[in-house]
Amino acid sequence: MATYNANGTARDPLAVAATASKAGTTSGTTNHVIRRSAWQNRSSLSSMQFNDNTLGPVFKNEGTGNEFGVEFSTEIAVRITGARVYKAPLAAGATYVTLWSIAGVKLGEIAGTWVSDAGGWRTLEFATPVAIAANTKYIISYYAAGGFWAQNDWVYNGMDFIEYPFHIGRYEEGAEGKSGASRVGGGVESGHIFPEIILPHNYYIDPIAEWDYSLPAAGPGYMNQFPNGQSSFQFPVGVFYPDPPFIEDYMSIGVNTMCGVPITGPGYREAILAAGCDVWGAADGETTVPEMVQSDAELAAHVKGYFLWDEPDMVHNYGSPDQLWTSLQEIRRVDSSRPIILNLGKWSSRSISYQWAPVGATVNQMNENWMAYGEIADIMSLDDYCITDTRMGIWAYPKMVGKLQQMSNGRLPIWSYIETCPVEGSDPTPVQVERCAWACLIAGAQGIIFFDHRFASAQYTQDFASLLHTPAMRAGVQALCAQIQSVAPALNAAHQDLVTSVDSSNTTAGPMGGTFGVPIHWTGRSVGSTRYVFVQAIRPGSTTATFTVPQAAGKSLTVLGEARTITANSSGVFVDTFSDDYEYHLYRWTV
Amino acid sequence: MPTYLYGPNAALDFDSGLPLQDTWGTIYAPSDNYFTAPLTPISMIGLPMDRVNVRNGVTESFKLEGYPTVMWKSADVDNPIVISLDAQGGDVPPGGTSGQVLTKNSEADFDTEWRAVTEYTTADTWEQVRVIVMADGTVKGIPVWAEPPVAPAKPGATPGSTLIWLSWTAVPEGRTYKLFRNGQQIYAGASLAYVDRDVQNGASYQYVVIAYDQFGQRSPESPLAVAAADASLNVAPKVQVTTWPAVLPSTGRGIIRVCASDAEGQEMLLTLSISGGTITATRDPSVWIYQA
Repeated sequence: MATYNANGTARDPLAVAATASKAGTTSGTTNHVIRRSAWQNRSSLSSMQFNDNTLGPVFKNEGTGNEFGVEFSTEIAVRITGARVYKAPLAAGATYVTLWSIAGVKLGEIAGTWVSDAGGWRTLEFATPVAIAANTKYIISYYAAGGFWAQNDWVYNGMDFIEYPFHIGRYEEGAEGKSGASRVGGGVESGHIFPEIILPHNYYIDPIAEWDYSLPAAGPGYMNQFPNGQSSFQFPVGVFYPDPPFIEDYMSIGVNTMCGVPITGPGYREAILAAGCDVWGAADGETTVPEMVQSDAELAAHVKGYFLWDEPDMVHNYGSPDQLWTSLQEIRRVDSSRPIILNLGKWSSRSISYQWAPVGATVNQMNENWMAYGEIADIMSLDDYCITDTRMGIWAYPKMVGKLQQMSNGRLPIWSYIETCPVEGSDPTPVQVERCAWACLIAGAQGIIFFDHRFASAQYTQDFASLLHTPAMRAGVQALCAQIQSVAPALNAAHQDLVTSVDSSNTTAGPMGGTFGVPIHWTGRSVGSTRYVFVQAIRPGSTTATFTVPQAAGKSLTVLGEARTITANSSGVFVDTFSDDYEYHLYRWTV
Repeated sequence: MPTYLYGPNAALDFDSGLPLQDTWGTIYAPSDNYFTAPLTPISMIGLPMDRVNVRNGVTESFKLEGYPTVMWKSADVDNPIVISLDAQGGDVPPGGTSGQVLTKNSEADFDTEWRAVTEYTTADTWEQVRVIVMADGTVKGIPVWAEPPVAPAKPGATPGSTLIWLSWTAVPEGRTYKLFRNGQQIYAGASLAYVDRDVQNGASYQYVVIAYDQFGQRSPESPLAVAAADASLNVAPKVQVTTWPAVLPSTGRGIIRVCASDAEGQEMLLTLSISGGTITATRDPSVWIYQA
């Protein structure tokens, strides 16, 4: 422990200064381990899979066992803990996950045994993680027991695959031979050997890395850093860029935060004051907004932060990280008492794009931008409207949260955008909006923003307050807002590993995003002596899930909003059903 | 019978205070039945004619879908404006279709120079339309009952250091306002407040406000307000030092912020010093990284 006394000074242009200090004694540590696989936060497994009709792996069987791997490097020195492997249903027998040097030296290995089952992602980790050097090529492979494996062709042919800190080079054939991408053993009956043959295909082996990180992670109390930035409401539920005539109506149904608002524009000030809502003002790269906020005490009470830039990673609104830094600096020099949020476009979540910026940028360059964006703001969000997209769905939204956490190394709170009107091919129902919101909240979102701009099309008239004018959506969103506020203390609490295991009975539903079955995602929260576990089926389909929650042993759990209770046995085990796509349950009990 | 308005000087900037041309205003009907009506502006607020109540020819079929907020703007100030008030149905000049604006004065041009009216708002069923010409030459049809707003009261002008806070009271039918400093417009919008930062301490400034209704009709000027920015009124910034986490760590790194705000919205220079541990500046001028 050590004492500190931090003295801050703010000096205006007339050299009038104010000072403040904060003294204390150090305690604890912010060191923590970041753990990540190459694919876990990517909502599209590859450009190939997004662009063709292959929504999951193809299962192959060409004889007895063989070795399948992938060559990769990492931008920083990390420890490889093992890998996720997509097990083919019929794969059975001994298997191994092995980390190799590029020269074929075994650096780590873990053995396992598979049985014939429904297949799916399996994690095999080394007894001791293996440290690897930065920017050095390695190969991680697995032995496909029985010769059954999962594959998608040509995935690595088009471009590099980059998910920080992983880098998988694209397949190339040059004068010196083939390079990059996936590795296969010597032949279909070659067994568990160093995979030397270079191919462009994806064999569904996903390396897992961990590394130490010393900046503090986001968590409860994060917003207390900003004296004028704390929400007036228990939980921010907002709408993007509403027009002034609708602000009061949004507020009346519980949409409490107006995000990306051009508050210097006609009618906004009066509409904001009349509604009593919170506002995140669109800075638009100028100081006029923070200047206005600072010098207008009545308005300032409602402004909780600034909206730095909308989709700087997309062609139509491109902003380089340097440009964003400049914009942020201009705001901070006028007002550093409020946080700044940055919203990215859809492609960052998919790590693919034909619309990324600047024009002509490669995925490698763009990945650097995405990671750089993650260092700039105080809160991040992205908008990828795909609730009813045929290749995507609600399951992608938790991955978006994860991807933003990845970009910021867990340093920033994440807000989620959800469409409440037809947009970009998605046209959700009120129930889908509700379930999408819970998908985001369970994944850790600390704010929800609705996108409600219905653009004119052959099918629809333009309406920039669509949900307000669509009775079913309006009622659904109003109920959702009330529901979120009713459990806001839990949503604002830190995630706790209250669930020690969960099994889903449905392992056979159709492929979606490379995952078979209907997995369950969940979060646990504690507020005083009250415990919450929020769970959701995070692929379409029905299933029955068995949960083990030790702290619920022998307890009667209230299932919020469903007028029922469920009792956990003396080991904390209970079973519940999910009869509809993306159904969720909210459990509450007292310890 | 549809009716057309012809304004040879429609593009004059009425806000400039220039007198309107004597020749302003001709109304004529199709079928070569020209007639001339002397049109006298009722004030210098963008209303170039006095209650030109143009009754549409076929009441039932004439339904302006709202008022055309911008029907057409002349690219050439010397060109006259001809506007069709027959938005739907009724007779249409040769070569044209209803709801369009003609851009030329010549009869011959009627055949070729029609342009669509593109902007309408909510449905309306006016039977009588007053035609006004805006300061920028835009021609509008508005309800005949729409009177221009009354003059706003004298605006409040509170001096500070390097700025003057201005506020004004809404007037009935006032939708937007323009604020003028020493005769130059410095704000246009719906707000009832503005902070003028383009001032020098010690100098005196005069302000007036003009209100506009939903149709863009202008009120008379408000009474004059006078204020002078004064360095002696400067308000010190407010500052607070915060950390994340709330208690800085013994191991690992923490965040220290200098959170400042300034009632005048001035740019500030933020600095931080520390006893115990080390700090590293970042690209964010309000954030430092701490290590014990």
